[in-house]
Amino acid sequence: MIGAGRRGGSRAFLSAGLFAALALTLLVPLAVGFLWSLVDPRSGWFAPALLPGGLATVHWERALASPRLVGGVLTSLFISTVVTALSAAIALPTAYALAKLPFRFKRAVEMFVLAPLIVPGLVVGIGVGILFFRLGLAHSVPGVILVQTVGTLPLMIRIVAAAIEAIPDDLIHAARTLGAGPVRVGLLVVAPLAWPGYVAGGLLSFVTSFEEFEKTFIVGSPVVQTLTILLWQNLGGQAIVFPNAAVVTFILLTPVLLIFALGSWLPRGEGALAAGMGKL
Amino acid sequence: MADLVLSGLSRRFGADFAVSGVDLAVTDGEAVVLLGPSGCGKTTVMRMVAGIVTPDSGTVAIAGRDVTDLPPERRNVGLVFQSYALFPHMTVAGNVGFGLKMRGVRGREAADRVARVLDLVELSALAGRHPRQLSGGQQQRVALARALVTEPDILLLDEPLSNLDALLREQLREEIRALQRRLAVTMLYVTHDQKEAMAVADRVVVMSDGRIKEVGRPVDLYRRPRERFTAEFLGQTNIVAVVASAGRLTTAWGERLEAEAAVGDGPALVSVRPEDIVVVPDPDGPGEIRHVAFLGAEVEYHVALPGTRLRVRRSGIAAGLFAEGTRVAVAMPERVHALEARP
Repeated sequence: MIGAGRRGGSRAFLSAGLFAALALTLLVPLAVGFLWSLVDPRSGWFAPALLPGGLATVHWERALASPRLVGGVLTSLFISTVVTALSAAIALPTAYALAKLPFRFKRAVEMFVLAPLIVPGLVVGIGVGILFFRLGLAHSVPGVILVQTVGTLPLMIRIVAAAIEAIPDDLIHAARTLGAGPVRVGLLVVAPLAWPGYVAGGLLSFVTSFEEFEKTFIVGSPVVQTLTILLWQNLGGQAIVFPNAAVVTFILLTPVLLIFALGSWLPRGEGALAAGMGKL
Repeated sequence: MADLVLSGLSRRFGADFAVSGVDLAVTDGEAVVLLGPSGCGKTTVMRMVAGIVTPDSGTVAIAGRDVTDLPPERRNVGLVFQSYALFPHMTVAGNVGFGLKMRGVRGREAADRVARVLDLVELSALAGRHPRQLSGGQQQRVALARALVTEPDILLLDEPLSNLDALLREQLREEIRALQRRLAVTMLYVTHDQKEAMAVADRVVVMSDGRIKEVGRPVDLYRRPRERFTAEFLGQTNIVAVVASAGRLTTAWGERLEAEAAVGDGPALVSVRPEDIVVVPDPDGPGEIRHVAFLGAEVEYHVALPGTRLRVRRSGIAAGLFAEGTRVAVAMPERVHALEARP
């Protein structure tokens, strides 16, 4: 009993600490940001004041009044959806090969697949941008979709490969001996069991694509105006304007929160999300 | 139901032969067990029959049809794994019905066949459960039902009982044997457990280093093994060096034995099972008990004799219990079995 009580106590202590850390790193900055977005430009917010001198919704009104905003949201949603679907389709065979098939130079291929995660987006963007310009893909939605897929594919492949790797070979062999060919094994056994990886990889790809700036800017701007590009233009030009930046933060955060809420709300979504991200 | 013929099957992994030149014919309705230590190639042979591993050379024929180049889904075999390998996202009924669905059997007929085979393994009440809600023994019975429902030509079992505890293992072993007899399905069963092999098999195939060492009925392999490896792998035994002369065998301590079958003159090896040797306390006897292990149902003695050491096992209260250091007379069986190998 004593041992159990002590363990219970340290558990409560630990979770209190974790929640405090979460609050400090996530909630406090968000609260400060939210206050910044509401600062009244007439009174401002200067040190050492803990709270702004006055509150106003003028920054929000200005940002939301922009007629291009709705168009930007729609463009972004369309591009992110296509990028996610494209990543998912391309990732499946690659992830399956990396997870289940033995072949030469597997490590090298793995490194190659993951390279876009390591190389800065600006480098990829400039390189691809020049190429796309020659191919006539610059300043076009398909061009933006392709260049963003370069960035999301490693995430998708990595997560889906981990999910497929976790499926025991025996299950696949059992399905084969029971009469399922490779395609039906993929659809009836591998896909349902790799579903958590797909949910996690899909959400990450969607969010990454939605928030992507450098590559989209280089390849797409000024013709393709995604939400991110519009909002960046809103930051203040020469120097950052804090209240505007705060509004941008919250507008960009909304889809992320929505997507993750959707992920946990989907049937089996929460478990899938946790499992797909690699169990903590 | 069908027969199975393996001819010259070989498979390398890297530089090593996993399986080398395996020839085996299993008749229709027969239960054959591949027995051997881990790494002897028995599982690889089974996987080549299932079509999961492709042989480098040799052929697999099921019911007279060469299936060597066919993928697993076109061979009509049922495979049961050590890991059960049930689909975690399907119910028991879904798992068992999977093979029928793949063969286009649907609706009423599929439901009836699933129900019938679940009844056979006494799991009808659990049809709606998921595998994670079942015990190991129940999961393996589901796997058995799943492999049988499609009426496979050959039922393949790869160490099916190795993940279960001892009591359940014996029970399920008997169930598998009874089921196989009742359905008269041709069965190839892989295990490293010699008791399991003898309990389940019509014939046992002893394998070592990728090759078949010896094939025979359990009783023949146990009592009259040709190879020393077989004698030592199937249960415990004493390999005793003797000298043969005109059909009589003489041990190092001077006991004269009769051979079961003709043995050429010269040094030879005989295999004598520990339970076939009797020891009796005798102050003038040639042996001395060096070690006693009381195992409940039986007592095991290590008896030192000139030039050798024998393992002796006695059971029952009438056999007595002797202390270490006791001098004993040793009575070997009247007729002993000489191995083919010579020292």
